[in-house]
Amino acid sequence: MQYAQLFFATWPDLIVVLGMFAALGVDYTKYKHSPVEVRSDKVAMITSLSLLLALAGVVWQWSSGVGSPLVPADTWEGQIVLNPLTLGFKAFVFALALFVLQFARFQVPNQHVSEYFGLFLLSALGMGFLITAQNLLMLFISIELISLSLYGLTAFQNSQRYSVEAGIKYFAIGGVSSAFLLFGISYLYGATNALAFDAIVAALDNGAVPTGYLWIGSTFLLVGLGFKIAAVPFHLWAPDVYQCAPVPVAAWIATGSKIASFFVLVQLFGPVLQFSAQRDTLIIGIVLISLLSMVLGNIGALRQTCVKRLLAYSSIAHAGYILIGLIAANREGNVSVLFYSVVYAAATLGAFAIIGILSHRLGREALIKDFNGCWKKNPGLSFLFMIFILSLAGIPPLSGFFGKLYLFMAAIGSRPEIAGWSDGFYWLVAVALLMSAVSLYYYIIVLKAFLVSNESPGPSPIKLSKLEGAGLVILALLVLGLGLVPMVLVDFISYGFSYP
Amino acid sequence: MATVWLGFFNPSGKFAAAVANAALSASLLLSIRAFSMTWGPEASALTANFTWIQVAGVNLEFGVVLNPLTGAMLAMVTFVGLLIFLYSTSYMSRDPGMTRFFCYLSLFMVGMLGLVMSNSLLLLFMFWEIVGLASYLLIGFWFQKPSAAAAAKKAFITTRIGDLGFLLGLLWAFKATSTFLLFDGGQGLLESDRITALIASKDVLFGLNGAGVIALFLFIGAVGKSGQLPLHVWLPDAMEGPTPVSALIHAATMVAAGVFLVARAFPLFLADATALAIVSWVGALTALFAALVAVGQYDIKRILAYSTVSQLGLMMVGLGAGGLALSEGGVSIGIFHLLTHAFFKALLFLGAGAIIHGCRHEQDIRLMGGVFNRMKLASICYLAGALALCAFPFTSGYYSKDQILISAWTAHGAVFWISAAASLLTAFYMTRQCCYVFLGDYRGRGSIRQCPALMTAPLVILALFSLAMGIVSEEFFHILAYLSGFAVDQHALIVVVVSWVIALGGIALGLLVYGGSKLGLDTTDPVKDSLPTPYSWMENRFFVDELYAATVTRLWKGSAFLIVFLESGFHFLVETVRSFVTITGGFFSKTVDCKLIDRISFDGVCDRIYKSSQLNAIIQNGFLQGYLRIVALGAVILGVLFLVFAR
Repeated sequence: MQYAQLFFATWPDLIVVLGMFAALGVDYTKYKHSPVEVRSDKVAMITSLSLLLALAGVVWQWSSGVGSPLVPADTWEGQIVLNPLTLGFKAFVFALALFVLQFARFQVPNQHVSEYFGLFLLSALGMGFLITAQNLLMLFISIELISLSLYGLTAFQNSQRYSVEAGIKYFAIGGVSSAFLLFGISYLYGATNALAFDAIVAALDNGAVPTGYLWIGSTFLLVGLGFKIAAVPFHLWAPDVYQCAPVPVAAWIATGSKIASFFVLVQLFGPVLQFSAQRDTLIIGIVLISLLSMVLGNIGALRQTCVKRLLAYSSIAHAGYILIGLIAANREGNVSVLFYSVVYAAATLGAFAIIGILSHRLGREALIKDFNGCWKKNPGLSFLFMIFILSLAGIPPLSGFFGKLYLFMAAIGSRPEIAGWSDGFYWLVAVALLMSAVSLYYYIIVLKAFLVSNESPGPSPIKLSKLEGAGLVILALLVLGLGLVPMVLVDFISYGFSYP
Repeated sequence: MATVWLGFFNPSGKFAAAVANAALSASLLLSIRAFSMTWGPEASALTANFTWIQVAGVNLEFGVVLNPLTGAMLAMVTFVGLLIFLYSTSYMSRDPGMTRFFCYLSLFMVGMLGLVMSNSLLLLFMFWEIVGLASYLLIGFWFQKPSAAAAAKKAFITTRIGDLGFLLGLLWAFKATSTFLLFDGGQGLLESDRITALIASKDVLFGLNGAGVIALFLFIGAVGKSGQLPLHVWLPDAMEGPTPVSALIHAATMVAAGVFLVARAFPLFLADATALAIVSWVGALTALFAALVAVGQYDIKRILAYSTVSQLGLMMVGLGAGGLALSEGGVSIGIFHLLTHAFFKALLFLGAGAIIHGCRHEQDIRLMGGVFNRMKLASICYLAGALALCAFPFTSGYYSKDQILISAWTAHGAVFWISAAASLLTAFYMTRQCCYVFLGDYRGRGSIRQCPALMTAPLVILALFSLAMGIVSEEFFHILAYLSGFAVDQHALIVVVVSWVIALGGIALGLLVYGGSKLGLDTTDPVKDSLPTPYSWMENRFFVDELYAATVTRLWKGSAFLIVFLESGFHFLVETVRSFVTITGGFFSKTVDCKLIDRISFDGVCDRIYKSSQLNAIIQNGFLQGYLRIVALGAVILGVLFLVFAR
């Protein structure tokens, strides 16, 4: 084993680890007796700085060309694969984490400041590894790293009963799902005698794979990953966790964790679905999951009065939409999945951040009616919120529209030999469109409270910190810009897929 | 050359004006740079294209193009625009909506520059619509005036008819060539490969070939935007807007967008001689018609408006007949007149604005008079513009109009004589107007006031350009050769004679009729005295508005009535069915009936969807055991599905 190579592949991640230890150390020595505000300020600065450095490192790796001795392309059977696509998404996840930290900074739930930020960093680390993983073992370990940190974060408001309860629920379901995942991995290993993704694909290509093991393994893998992306019927933790966890944590679970999971889902199942035998069978299961997610997610969101819970159901529905791209089982489909996950993450993070900022001073979970007449006091925040929500709803000039368009076009165009309305995925896309129409109802209700409602005075004016404001504006520009020039990202992702 | 324009977030009027002026000055410098880049004997085009979106095998591509035509238009638009911006800074200084005004003006400039530069029909159409919207907003700028609001609506709706034609042409072009790009390294819509392919598809519609059909649809758009017959009705009414707007949008730049569109898509027009002939005939008839109407008007801005319509008609003649006579050289003839016209017509409108300002916001020329003695500088400038418009020898208008007449002479005799008649009338009505305004004693209220220097300065600059631009650009810079790439035949003796006769004769005739007579509200117009019936037609603009009111509007009302009638019939039918259902339903039970109706109605479905979320609540009961059971159930179902369907 070449340790130098390992170091060159992972030095940005090492910076994050060092940042975490530095934050813990400083917090418990120098600032031990300082007030929480000072400590959170210092710790947030240290952690943000380390993330920023790591981000710069990843970008440097990306720009300096993969494959050079300083940036090893593939090490150890796909355990850490660096290529433009993985590095790009890793950088995006780190950037998202950086945004989340800026919002989390002012909403620390208790006095354990450095642990709070440390867990954020650990989960970001896990997501980075999950994205670069193309090996089932590494996949499992990264998912565990993410999940364990997120369980802790969810239960972080340990003075509140509901936060702990949500943490335990999350942990229990997550534990079961991990068991499924590990079990599935072992079956798959038994069937193909391989752990690296490309070796699995090669084994499938050779034929001579015992199909019974293969199907059981795939089932369990789908269950485990379905839990991570909160797809029905493995979604049940999501509403409770989103509602009860601290807002930045909910935002982080809904964005970073999801984008990494979708990435690995595409990396694993994308090539497998190229084989028609596997495709025809697996697709039935994925179609079922996608359909249930869209229907239950959207319908569940209709009645919610709590904004975070509403966003939880909406994220379940979005998982359903994204799976449509996977079902297409071709290059366009995979590209559209990744495109949509980026677009979705940006809009969702923005929406959560604004909810968090506005509801932080409320001291309890925010209901929709708490935001009545928000535009009068906070016009800028309301406007940004409108952009994020409209993008989630898929209104044309914004990127959410193009994301959905790519997903649906990929599904419809995926199998040109099927022309009839009953075959192909016309009906699935039709359901998706219908459900998008349903989703407009609850998105508009939230927007109505923000922008139209006149009833109550709403939250008083809030002064954003510069970093929070900059973060929100960058996210909004991303949402808007990817709508105006979607080809930039699409070209980047397609190039990444064609990378040797 | 991508000048980014910022909307202004509520600054004071002065600040908005300053920002707009600064931005436009910068853009002028860039435009001049662009102009000089494209300057040269061989017309080199610079294009930059990019793919906007790519969905299911369809590419939507955008791009910008910089060729001599674009360069000349950019320089003209920004230069005239800057002068008019400066002028409006003073003209609108008392208006409470000054910020809004400059926002709209800037929006207009964005649209106009984008329109000129875009290298994609789709992008061009988008900017075309932006320009139309800005025009609508600016005509209705004083929206508290009902006439302004009505005029804005009229302009918007009338040009919409043309826009529909443009859209059809655009879609047709996309269907035929599957590209929106105009120039794309040999693959663009206007390049020889595509054109040859389009010509090859003969007899597509009414004996036109593929290119001709697209060209004619685009021409419909141009007719709407450039106020050609029969869609000219909106342009005179558009004078309800503030005078700088009339100068900038409805004289110099936006209305020329139609002419520009024809010039831009000229290869398509060249591909079909019928299309060119239609363009030249429409242009000639418009020119004559509008010139006749202008003779019978009393509102100073309205006269200029009809004169604009008439001159736009002449530009179309230049393009159409020029295309027939010289093929590619036709572009230069129409566009040369467009450029010179932009200067002198902007000058005339701004001068009219100064005169109106001086005469206490009176627009009726019968209530003016004696202006020359009180506002010497402005009046001299105005006269310079008028001379250029009359094509007085060696002014700019003379050079450009001469070219139009020469090409018309070569192309088609009748078109030539109609255009000549229109030019004669032009000289006549301008003389009439000047006699009314400048001679005699002041007949209005109060006394004439001077206008501020910021308003006069643009007038002087524009006047210099109006007088000298023809000589400078034609004699020294050979702008015609520059625009089209080759020299244009200069001399046909008869045409030169005719154009001299027209210009001098028209002015002389005007002086003869109006020079000595006493004018005013209480005396009838001298022409009316001698020719009462035709004059009343002119006064009433040949009843075109009334004709539209009688035909189109009535048709509209009729169809509305018909629809109401049909709807009531349909309603009756529905009612019958409904009452039948009600009765049969009620026969069994009242409640079943209600449910039936409810179930098929939209409300029922919505309610059902809404209620179905209760189902969700049953699953999501908050108990961990239930959650885990469902996860396990999901896994079992998936496993069974895979094993059952496995192949």
